[in-house]
Amino acid sequence: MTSNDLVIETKALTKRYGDILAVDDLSLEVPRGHVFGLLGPNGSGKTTTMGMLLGLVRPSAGRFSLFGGKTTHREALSRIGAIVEYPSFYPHLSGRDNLACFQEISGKSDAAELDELLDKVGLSERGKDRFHTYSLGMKQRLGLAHVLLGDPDLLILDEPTNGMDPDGMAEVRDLIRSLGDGERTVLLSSHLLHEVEQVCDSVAILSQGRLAVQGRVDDLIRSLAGEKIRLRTTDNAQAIELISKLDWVADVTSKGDSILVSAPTERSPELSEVLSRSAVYVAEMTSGQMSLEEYYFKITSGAYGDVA
Amino acid sequence: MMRKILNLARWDVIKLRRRWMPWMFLAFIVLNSQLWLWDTYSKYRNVDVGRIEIRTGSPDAESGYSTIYISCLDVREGVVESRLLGVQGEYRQVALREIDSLKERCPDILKNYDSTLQVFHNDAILPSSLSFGRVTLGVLGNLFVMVLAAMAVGVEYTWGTARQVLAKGCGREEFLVSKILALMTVIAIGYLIVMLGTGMSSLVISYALTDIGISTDTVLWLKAGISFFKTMYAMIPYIMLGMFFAILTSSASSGVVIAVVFFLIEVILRPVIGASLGLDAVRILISFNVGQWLQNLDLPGFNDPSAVYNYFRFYMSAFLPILAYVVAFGGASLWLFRRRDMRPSKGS
Repeated sequence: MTSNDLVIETKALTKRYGDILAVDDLSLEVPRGHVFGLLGPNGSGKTTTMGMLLGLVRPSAGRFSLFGGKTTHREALSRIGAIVEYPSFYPHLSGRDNLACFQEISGKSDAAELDELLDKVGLSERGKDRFHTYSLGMKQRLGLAHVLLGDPDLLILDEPTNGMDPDGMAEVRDLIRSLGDGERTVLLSSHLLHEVEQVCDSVAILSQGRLAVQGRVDDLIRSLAGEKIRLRTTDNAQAIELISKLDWVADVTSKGDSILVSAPTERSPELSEVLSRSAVYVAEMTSGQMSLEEYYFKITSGAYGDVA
Repeated sequence: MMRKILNLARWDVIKLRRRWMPWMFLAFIVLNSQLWLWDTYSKYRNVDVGRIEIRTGSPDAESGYSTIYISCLDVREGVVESRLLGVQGEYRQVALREIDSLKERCPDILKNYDSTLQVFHNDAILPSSLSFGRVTLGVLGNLFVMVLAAMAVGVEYTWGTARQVLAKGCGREEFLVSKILALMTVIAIGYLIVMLGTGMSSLVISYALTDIGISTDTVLWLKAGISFFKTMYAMIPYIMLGMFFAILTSSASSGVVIAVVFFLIEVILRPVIGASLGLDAVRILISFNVGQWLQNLDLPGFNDPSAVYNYFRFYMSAFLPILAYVVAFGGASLWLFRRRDMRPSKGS
């Protein structure tokens, strides 16, 4: 992958706050057109990394480039829509005025765009109300409208569904997914792992300021866990005994009324045949792939009760 | 860049306009200037010009005693004799005795009247009344400006909106310059409103309640105009101070508290420094220099070079320290603001 294909590229990026190493030697590559998830426990350096990319936090060492490094950082920022931490707006201005304010900072003035964005995030009815009267979910929605101002090439979203009800979260998930279609790139941090799994093409997992792993979601899960086959049989005890003798099976364990077999999924018919030859019949057989959540806890050793 | 600064400044003005604090300050200052103006008028109206009442005839069945009033102003203008025409006999003798007695008291009475009239002219009559609004602000106006500046910059930290603005591609220097521009605009508008209020009241006083009228002295009008710009210049160091305290603490409330403490320390230190180290030492204080800068000296005649030199020397000795404060605190604010990380907000 060349630099031209990368919207964000960091090289040994480091941020130190006194004795605390917030981000340590982080080298990250975010390809163009991807919805990229940034995962990690509290204090793993996600927000600091986003802050450095946006010029809010000065790196202690290392460097980064945006859009292949072809533009100045300030020009690059004009192509980015970002919400870091949580949506911050002027409480005594209306939602619409807040958007107008940020639109004009970007040097534009387009009332139609404001109406369109408010409509897109479902705030048309409340656009003229002051921001401080909004619920947390509405504030998040306004935040999303804000990041979409000027149709940016890169979106940086820090926990965009925080405080939203389930319906709202589903809507925003769909919105983010649709925003990531085509050339636009989305860098998303979220503490909801199933959300990231559903929305993101690629993820990077940070742990204690360092990059633990980075790659496509499905590749990562497959690379670490291999593949698993989940099955129920007429005699699980005998089945485990038979399967454990097969040399192409890495592991076999009992889990409730099922058996979990670590083996390539394409050998499922073979497995079925071995069992049936010993009069053990398969009642149900499914692919038992690991979830991102399981993968995440494996990577971070489950040391963190709270994921953010 | 200039367009972005102007856009930001325009929105900063809108943001300030929609907060209650600037309006509260403005209401206080307008009320204060009006009270002082009408108090001056009331003092002028009630000043003793030694007016006495003299009976000039027998009581009439319908209108009672026939009387005339004589004041020290009549005495000074030499119209007493004409006022006594028609007063005859015993009544005239009594009147002359009373007027003689009045004439003895008149020098003191007229001296007091003239000084009150001068104050009235200086404060309540256009165009002097325009700059009177600034005088009534006194030291509180400076405090208000400092608090307003600390609040305008500090809330951007507290609400986390500074991060949002900077993340949108706005430069840090653009951000600060626009704040200064917006504060100057809001203060100028506020001051113009105060001037408009005092101007309207002095018009009422001039025409409806007295016969004094508006001054046509061009020098006075020129001084009123200069006073506006001098006042605006005097406000800049206080804007810089308020902004600096907010950036130093990254907070609106802490910035405002430090601004108030700084202001009080200056008020307390001024007499202490003056008494212990002498008047020259007081010159380091911003309030001293601002006070000197805002003094209204009479414009010197240009045919007297030494008077012109002294006039400008007097103002330059205040102008330069104020400029030094502006550069020092403005520079420190920009340096800190550019250097520091924009850490997460401290909550709204």
